Amino acid sequence: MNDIIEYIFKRLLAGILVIFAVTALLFAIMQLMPGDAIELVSSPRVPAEKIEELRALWGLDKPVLVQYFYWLSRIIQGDFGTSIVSGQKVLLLIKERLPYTLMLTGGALIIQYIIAIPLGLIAAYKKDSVLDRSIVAFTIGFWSIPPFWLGILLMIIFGVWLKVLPISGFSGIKSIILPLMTMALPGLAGVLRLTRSEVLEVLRERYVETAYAKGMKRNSVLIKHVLRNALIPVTVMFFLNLPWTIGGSVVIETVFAWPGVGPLLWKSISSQDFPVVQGIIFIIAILTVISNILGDIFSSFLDPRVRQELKGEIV
Amino acid sequence: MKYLSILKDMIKNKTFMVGLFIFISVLILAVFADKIAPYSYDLINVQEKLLSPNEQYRFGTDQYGRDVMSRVIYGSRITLKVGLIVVAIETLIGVSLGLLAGYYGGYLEKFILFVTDLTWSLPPIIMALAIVTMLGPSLNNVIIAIAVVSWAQFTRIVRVKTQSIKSLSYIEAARAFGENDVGIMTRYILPNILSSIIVLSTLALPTAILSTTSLGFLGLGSQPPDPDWGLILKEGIAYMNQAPWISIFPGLAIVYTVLGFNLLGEGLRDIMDPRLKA
Repeated sequence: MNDIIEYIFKRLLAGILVIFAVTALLFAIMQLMPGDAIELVSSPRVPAEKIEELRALWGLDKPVLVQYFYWLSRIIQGDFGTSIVSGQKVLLLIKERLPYTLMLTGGALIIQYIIAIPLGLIAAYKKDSVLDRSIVAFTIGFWSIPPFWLGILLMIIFGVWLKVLPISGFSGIKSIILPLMTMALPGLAGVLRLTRSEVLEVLRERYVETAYAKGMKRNSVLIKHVLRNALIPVTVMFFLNLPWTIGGSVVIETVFAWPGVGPLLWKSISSQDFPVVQGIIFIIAILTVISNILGDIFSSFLDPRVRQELKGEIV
Repeated sequence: MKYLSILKDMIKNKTFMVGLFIFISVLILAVFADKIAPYSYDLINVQEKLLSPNEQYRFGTDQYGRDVMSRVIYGSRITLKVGLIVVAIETLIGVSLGLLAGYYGGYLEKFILFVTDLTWSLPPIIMALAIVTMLGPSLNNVIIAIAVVSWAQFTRIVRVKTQSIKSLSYIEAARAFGENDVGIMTRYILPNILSSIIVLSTLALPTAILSTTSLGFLGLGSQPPDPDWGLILKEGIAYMNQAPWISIFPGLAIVYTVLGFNLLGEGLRDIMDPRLKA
């Protein structure tokens, strides 16, 4: 047990270190950008002394390192500043939109796992059957479709041709269907493939043979022995996938003009609204680090073999 | 003899052959684009704008009356070029760091692993967006951004392989003969992990293409009038009602190309390095 606690502690420490590095990176990125915030918001007619005054007010006249600690202490308190474009508080802007993004990513992940796990199990159990082959073909196919194009295709089919679903924006429950399908399908292929290959691996284990030899029924072997063991990496992948899904949602949300964080990030990048860009990327980084740590912790709890390894050297 | 048996395996492997066929067809399209495409990619003809696919314009025309088919054909040049450059850069960075980490170990390894973890601390597309924000939108910057965020998988695998090879006795022998570290890494270790690297690079290609077209779609890569497939799709969205063909054909081209590279990579992996699976 102590090993696990020590491991979690080390992971947390590493996570905090990574978040610090991300803040440094974000700050560096914004420092390297051409022009500063003042030049962006003020017109050339603003007198020079007024600009200097604003610079001092925003702390832009201080040395870079001082500015960084300034900025860091503010974002730790949750103050990401105000948007250069709209003048609104960045935290408020993100708070308004984050639920929509989480709704989409959460929903997509749930759909993926509900569909992919049983299908993966069946495909592996009936390896090389027609069903298995078509499932494998489906996964390779979906891996090759750019998610944003899948979104466009669904919009054309259901919105333009069949006219049954709204194609963009958010206007009630019907608008979530297309973005959700677009988000779920490509990831589903990945989970399906992983489940299949893990189940295949477990099916080769000796203890499965033993279970059959003991006279256990096929279904209970499949669920109690095979699925239980095969699901360990699949569960871990859930956490590792979460950030990827959020990353992917940036593009997909933009396709559907979904009121989430994605279009905000995209618009802010185009208009160089860097407080907003910093805020969004910082929050995504924290979500990523947390879900990576959760993935590691889960795998150490679920899999006694990993617990064994923990007693050795941890890098 | 070894190469002959690999060649035989290749011909027997259907996945690989289909992938190879697709790859060669895209390559031909890219190299001879100016001979194959019926029109130039930027030939504007306002009188014939938004025409649906017909005898003259097989894929229809776009909002400026440009031939969508010609644009898709010329676009294969951009896609192939960008994909290959991105993968070349990430292979170079990833393999060198993996060799160094695996060979020297110690603090250097810890540091390289930390940087690797760092690139995984953000979803790649987000990291790439951040880098493009810094460098400004252009195709070259997209290439840099995607390469910078995706080398880590090479490092991870090359490091582990290097570690397991470096303790073998023939490395000892090489050292005894006075071979220096660089020589051991490049002449003794690298050739032994080359097949894994080839497989990894091929498998990285479709991902690189999907990422760059995504950024192109967001308008952060190629700029108009370049026939970048992602960019055409972005411009097509506004005409989805009147002219869905603008949004359909470049997407099909991406799927065809990426599918080809996926099959090629999977086939190569099964032939050359089955243990890389999963």
